Amino acid sequence: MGLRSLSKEICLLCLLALLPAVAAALWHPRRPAFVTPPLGPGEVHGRTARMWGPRVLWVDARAGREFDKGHVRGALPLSEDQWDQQLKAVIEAWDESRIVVVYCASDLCRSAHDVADRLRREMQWNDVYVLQGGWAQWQRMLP
Amino acid sequence: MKLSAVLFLLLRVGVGGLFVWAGVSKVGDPFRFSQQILNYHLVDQPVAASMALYLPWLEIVCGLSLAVGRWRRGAVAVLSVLIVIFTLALLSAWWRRLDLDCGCFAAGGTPGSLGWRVLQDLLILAALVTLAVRNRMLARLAPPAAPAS
Repeated sequence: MGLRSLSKEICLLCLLALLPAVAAALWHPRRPAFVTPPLGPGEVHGRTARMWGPRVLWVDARAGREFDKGHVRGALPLSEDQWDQQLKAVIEAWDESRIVVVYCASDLCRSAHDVADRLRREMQWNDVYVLQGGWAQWQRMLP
Repeated sequence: MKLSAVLFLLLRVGVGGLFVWAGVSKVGDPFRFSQQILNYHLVDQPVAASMALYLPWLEIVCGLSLAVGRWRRGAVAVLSVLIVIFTLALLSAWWRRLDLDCGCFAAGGTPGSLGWRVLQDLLILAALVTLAVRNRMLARLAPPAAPAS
C-alpha cells in the first residue's frame, strides 16, 4: 500500500470520470461550447452584461408579440416599427450611469443592431451595446 | 464495532455523499456551470467548458468511491486537491470583491456569501484530512501481505 497503489487509484478514478464527461461533451443537450464566437462590432457577451448588473438598461428590439412571451427582467420594448411610441419610456429610464444593452431573437436577426445604431446616432448615447446571441443565448444562461 | 469506527464510517459516507450531491446537482446543466466558472475570471472558455463537463463527474465518481470504501485513499487525495482548488478560487473571488454564484451546488446560488462558502470548504477539507490520517493508520495496523509461495 504505497505511493504506487495510491497513484493507481487516482488514475483509475480520474479515468472513470472521464468516460461520462466525454459522453456529455458529445451528446449533452446543454453542453458548453469550447470556443466563444468572437464579438462583432458593438456587441457584448451575456456574461459581461450580467456582471454590469443593475447598471444595464435592457432594450428589447423584438416585435411586441415576442416581448410579451418573455423578455429579460426589466427590459423595455423598443422596435423600429413603434419607435416614436416606445422611445419615451427608454429615455425616462436612461441616465448617464446606465449602459444600454439591446437584444433581438438571436444572432440571426439584425433589429438589435439597427436599434442600437439609431440610439447612438439620434440620442448621442455612447454606452450602447448589442447582446451577442440575443434572447436565445440569454435563455441558455438562465438557471 | 467501536464507536470511533462508526463515527469514521459516518464521516466517510457523509463527505462522499456530499460530493456526490454536489456533482449530481451540476451534471444536468454543464452550460450553466461553465458560466459560473467563467464568472471567476480565472480561466478561458475552453478550460471552463472542459472543467464544467469533467469536474461534476469527478466529484460523483470520487464521492461514490469514498462512500462505498473502494479506492478511498485515491478518492480522498483527489477530493482534497479539488477542495483546495475550489477554496483558492473562492478566496480570489472574495479578494477581488466579485459578486457571483460560487457554483458549489447548482441550486446554491447565494451571491454575497463567499466567506461562508470558504468556511464550508475548509470544514470539508478538515474532514478529508481526518479521513486521510485514519486511512494511513488503518494501513499501518493491517497485517502485512503473505509472501507469494
